[in-house]
Order: sequence, then C-alpha cells, then structure tokens
Amino acid sequence: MSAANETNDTAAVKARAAAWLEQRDRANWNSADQAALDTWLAQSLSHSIAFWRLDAAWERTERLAALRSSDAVITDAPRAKRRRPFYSVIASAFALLCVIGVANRNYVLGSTERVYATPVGGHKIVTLNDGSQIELNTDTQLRADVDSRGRLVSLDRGEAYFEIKHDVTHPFVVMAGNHRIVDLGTKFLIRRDGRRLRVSLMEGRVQFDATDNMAKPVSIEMNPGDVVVAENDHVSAARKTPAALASELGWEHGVVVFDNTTLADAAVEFNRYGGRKLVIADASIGHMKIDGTFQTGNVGAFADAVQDALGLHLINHPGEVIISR
Amino acid sequence: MADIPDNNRETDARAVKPAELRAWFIHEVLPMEAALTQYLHHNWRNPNDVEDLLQDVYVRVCEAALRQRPDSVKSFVFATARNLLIDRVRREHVIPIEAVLDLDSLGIAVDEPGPDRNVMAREELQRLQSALDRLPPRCREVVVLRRIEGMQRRAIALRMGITEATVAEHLANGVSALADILYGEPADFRRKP
Repeated sequence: MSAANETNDTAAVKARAAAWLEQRDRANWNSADQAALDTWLAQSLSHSIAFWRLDAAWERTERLAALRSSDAVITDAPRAKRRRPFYSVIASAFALLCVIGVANRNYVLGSTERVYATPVGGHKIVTLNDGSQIELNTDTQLRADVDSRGRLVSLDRGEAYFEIKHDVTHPFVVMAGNHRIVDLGTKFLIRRDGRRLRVSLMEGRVQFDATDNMAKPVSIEMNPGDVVVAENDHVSAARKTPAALASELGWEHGVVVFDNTTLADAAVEFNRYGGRKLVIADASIGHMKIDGTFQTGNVGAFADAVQDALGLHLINHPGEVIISR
Repeated sequence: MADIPDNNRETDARAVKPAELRAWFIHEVLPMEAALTQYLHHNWRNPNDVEDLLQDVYVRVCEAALRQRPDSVKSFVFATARNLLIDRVRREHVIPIEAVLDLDSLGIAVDEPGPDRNVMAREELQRLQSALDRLPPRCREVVVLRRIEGMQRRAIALRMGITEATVAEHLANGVSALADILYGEPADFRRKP
C-alpha cells in the first residue's frame, strides 16, 4: 500500500461526497436518491465524514443569502455589471410596449374587462365566455377581458389555476405585472406574491416571457411538469413529478400538501388562508422539514402534528399559535 | 448480556451515539481542521499525504468516539494525529520518530477554544464572503447564483450559456474548495505563524 494510492482514495471519496451533495441540492432529488446516498454513507465512516464536512460548509454558506437584497456580491461580477444598463433599456422599452398594448385595449377600443376576486380563505371558480375556466385560490384578484378580439387575463395578486380552451386564432395571454404567459392550449397554475411569480404547467404548452425587473427579458417555452419562478431579477426553472404538481393543487380540495417542506415555508403557506396565525419563534427550527396533508383552515391540527412529529413546543394565543423549541 | 464484556458496557454509557456523531464531528472536531492541518504539515515530510492523513485522523477519532466520548476533544484529536504519524513512520520508515513527538514545541494551544466557536454573525459573513471571492470566477458565479440568488441549475445554465452538467461540476468543485478554505485555513489570519 503506497501513500500515493491512499491519497487518491481520499481524494476520490471526497469527490464522490461532493457529487452527492450537488445531486441532493437538485430540485428532482427523491426518496430513492436519498436511499442510495444513505447506502453510500453507511459503507464507511470515511464516506460519512467526507460528506458531513462538505455538508457543514454548504450549510454555512446559507448565511450568504443575507447578501441577496443588498446585491453586493452579484454586482462584483464585472460581466453582469456591464450588461445591465443595455438590457435595462430593452426591458423598459418592452414593458412600455406592454403597457401601451393594455391601455389601447382598455381605453381606446373599449373594455369588456371583468374583475374577479376572493377574500382571504376564499375559493372561487369562474367560467369565461370562451369556455375556459379559472379557479381562484385565497386572497386573489384578476381581471379578465375575453371577447372576439382576444383573450387577456391580468393577475393582480394571489394564485389561480387555468384550464384553457384552445383557440389558435385567439391566444390566451396572462399578464402578471409585466411578466407574460401565453397559452398554447393547456392547464397551468400561476401564483403571484409581490415580486415573485411562479408558473406551473400541468398540461399542454405555454410560453413564459419574464420581463419585470429583469436585466434581460427571458423567454421560456414550458413543457408539462415545468415550474418556473421569476423573482426580482432572476428566473429559475425546475421539472416536477406529476404527483408533486398535483399536490400544488391541493387547495382545490381545501388542503395543503407538504412534502419535505421546511417549517418556515409551511407556516407561510398556512397563513395565506387566514385563521389563527402561525408564528415560528426560533429561526433555527424554520429549517426543519415536514410531510403531510392538512386542511387549509385547521391551524390547530397542523400545530399539533408539528408538536408531535418534531418535538416542538406550542404556545396558543387567541389570534396566533407560536411554535418554539 | 452475558457475552458482552464488562468494559464494553462501561464505555457504552459515555459513548457518542451513532445518531449524534454527525453533530459531534461538525461542532467538536471540524473546527480544529486548520490547526490539525498545520500540525500535520509541520510533522510530515510529504505535503501530498496531508489530505489523506487528515481523513485518517477523522476516521480514528470518530471510531473512538463511538466507543467512548473523549474528555478533551482537542487533546484527543492531536494525540490521535500524533499516534497516526508514529504508526506511519514505523510502517514506512520515512522520517525520524523524534519529529512527530514534539507537540508542545509547535505552539498549538490545546485548550484554546476552536476558532469558530464564538464568531459573530457579521464576522462569519465576512469570512464566507472572502472564501467565496477566492473561488475561480466562473465557479464563484455559479455558487452565487445558486446559493445567494437561489436559482435552479437550468436557469443558471441558460444565464451563463453553459450546460447543466458544467453547472453541477462548478457547484461540486465550489463546495469542496469552500470547505477547504472555511475549515482548513485559520479563521483569523493574525493567528497564522
């Protein structure tokens, strides 16, 4: 046994550990992958140690997210910096054209626009003139302008599921701010929270033109299973399984489905539907993961499950439930 | 129970449980990596062996902790490193044994708290940022887009005009390099010899 060989072995184990960590960070990581990783980790203490070490470093870098809003790090990259002004001009011009387009329809040609809205905790199904259906989730407002000239829906806030009757001559366009989703015959879900827009495609095809706040407008043709998120100045895309997508539509049946969801995200999700407010008292428990299907209105049942499954402490107040260690 | 020797039963009660080993390693052992790396470099002629020696120390320390929790982790880690070097010297007849016995003259303060124990959040952020800045530019950009901007691989690939496989490669290399910088190098450069 030579020293050189051993060094290679350690280097190989570390490289494998890094590859595992990278894979685990992917959106499509599933329980079979986790089982394979667990098997590899169990093979030797050396495997476990190499992985723990990298995982600890990776977790530490989570703090870097604090830099997100300040934009301090990203603008260090000189390429991005030079690019920005040029594309900003195009983005602004594009945005302006969209505004003019919308204004024309509404004020010059005369509008047939109708407003649909749900309160917090509400749920409504709307059938449009063309037979398309839109299902509105909690705290949602949209404006639909559908007639012989065209089909335009503006999502002002909240979340809506679209089942569109296909019509080649009248493309169905959804605007969310200046982001634009053009349907090519399809079922899709759009959620708008402030500057974040999330589009999930269940069936068919859509084209998503992300424009708001973008240094450069990004156009993505989505296929079934694709989930695209536009947030601030970037766009991310992931491919989800049919089951994962179906769980996003749990609210159609009055439930939320959590699958390896962090407690922090789950609380945000629950709080969308009103009722007693869930408060995570301790940031360190926000990363804990939970699974399960819960009724959207039943905060108590969810809090009890969290208490049991994660061994956390509940403080019940009239208007809120505080979860702590 | 009859077939379990008495001494095993005694040590079991004080052992680090397998489920706790990850946390114990990360919090108690890993913060010593910079000092341990320095120790190994001082006491072993071939720097190319240090990565392997370090990993061996970790494995030995964790194996021992599963049998019995050491009273002082720091003393135990350095004693393990020293024993490992002695074993290697005996086996490979490479360097004189005296060189590895002289722990005290190295100025490694065994009782000093680990460098990462009481770091303020702001210092930690500065340290992370300076570690990030030492990655190769493209690698750094990928890590920033994934870790700070929260972008998925496909979006990063589209934005940078590279394949998703290359994004994955940059991420794997990035996390390895960050671990080496964050754990393998002294937190405070003033402490450097």
